Amino acid sequence: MHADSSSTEAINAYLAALQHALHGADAALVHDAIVDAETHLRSALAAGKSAAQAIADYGSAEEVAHAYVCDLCEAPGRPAPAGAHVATDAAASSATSSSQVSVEKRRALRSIPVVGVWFDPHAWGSVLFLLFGFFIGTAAFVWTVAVGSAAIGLLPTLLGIPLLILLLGSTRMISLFLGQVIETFVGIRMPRRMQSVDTTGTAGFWRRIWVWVTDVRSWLTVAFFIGNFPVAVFCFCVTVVLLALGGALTVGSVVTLFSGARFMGASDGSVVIFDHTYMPDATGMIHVPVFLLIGLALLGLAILTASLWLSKGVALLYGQVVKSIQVVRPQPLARG
Amino acid sequence: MTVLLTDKIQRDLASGTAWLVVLAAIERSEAPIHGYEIARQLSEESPEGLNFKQGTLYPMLRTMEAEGLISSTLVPSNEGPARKCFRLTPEGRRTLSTWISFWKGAERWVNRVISGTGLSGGSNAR
Repeated sequence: MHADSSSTEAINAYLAALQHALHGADAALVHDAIVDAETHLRSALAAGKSAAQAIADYGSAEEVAHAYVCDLCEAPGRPAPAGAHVATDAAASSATSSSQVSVEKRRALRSIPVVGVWFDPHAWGSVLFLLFGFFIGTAAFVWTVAVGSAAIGLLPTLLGIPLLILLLGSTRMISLFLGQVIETFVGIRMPRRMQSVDTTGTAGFWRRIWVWVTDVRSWLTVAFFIGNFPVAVFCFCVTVVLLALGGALTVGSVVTLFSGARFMGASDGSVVIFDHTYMPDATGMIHVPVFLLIGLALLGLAILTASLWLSKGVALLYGQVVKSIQVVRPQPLARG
Repeated sequence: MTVLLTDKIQRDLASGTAWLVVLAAIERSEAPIHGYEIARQLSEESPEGLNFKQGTLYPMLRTMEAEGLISSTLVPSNEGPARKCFRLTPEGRRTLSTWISFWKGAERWVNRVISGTGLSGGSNAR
């Protein structure tokens, strides 16, 4: 069953009202709310309901917008406003209060200036993302370039067309996967689905393909996977170098400190630290002043702290770019 | 003022019980169930005056999935785009059991209090 033009207009108007009601909310959340509403209302029309009835059952744009904006603050198991819970069970109450204390502790640790980043799970997640992102970025680049090149090369024989469609469909899926990786590691909310496409019957299949080809996000995603490769390599290298440098300085200095502030020098016997040459003693061991070792350990910790901030900032920027590609030009119901 | 308060209690009751009934609707379904079907069943079964707004279902499903209470798979549909179908996880089943015990406690509490009023609750206050 296909919607007539008046139903389509009514649903488009509702989606516009929902988008307006969600003005100022996170772009990915707005995207998901629109896709959910469109998919649901289309299912209702297909089930034989009128557009007016389907919209009335779905709820006013304001009600639905409120549900999306407040879904997390009202979710069971999450910290709720004071007085929101009635204690019905002593054990549950005790567990809730201890978990809230733990949440408060973690929040307090994270709010410590500068070094609070050490207690931010998303900062560590960002480091992991920049490391793993290199492998995802490389795989996506290889896939895009290989399939894209083959598609362009085979276009004159028409065999390139299915390859091109394969490329666009697959990159959209990889982009969604990358979005979920970013959300897990970095904590940025990302869209769960691309815009839904009606695939009823054979015409629906071709319509899906047509949407892939005409959707600006498909081409932006392909461009992103190509341009992302050098960026992912650079981020990976910088992250590894900073972590290795900071880790080596910290661990090396602390270990030396606890082993009597001395260590075995290089083959020529000497070691230079801050333009000062330290010579080995008769046993071949080099004695380093304690204050210097403490200074080197602090320098290592400073580099690690800076690495966490830098990783968090870069991963946030990275996530915003991927999200802006996924939510760009949300397409309302385009049938009629 | 009475109308406003009645609206408020209808909204509060609907939103307060929605999480429980959504999870229960997924549990009782033999096969994975999609959002539209959950909404349809709950709307059909919702009592008069307790209007379940279908649009509030989807953010709930997202949160439940994020919390590991339900899992989803995309299933092709003959009536439109592929649908996300949900089923309960073991964690979701444990949570539902806890929520049901909360609900039964609340039900007993409310029934005990209102049984002393002598009102049957048959007429609509509005």
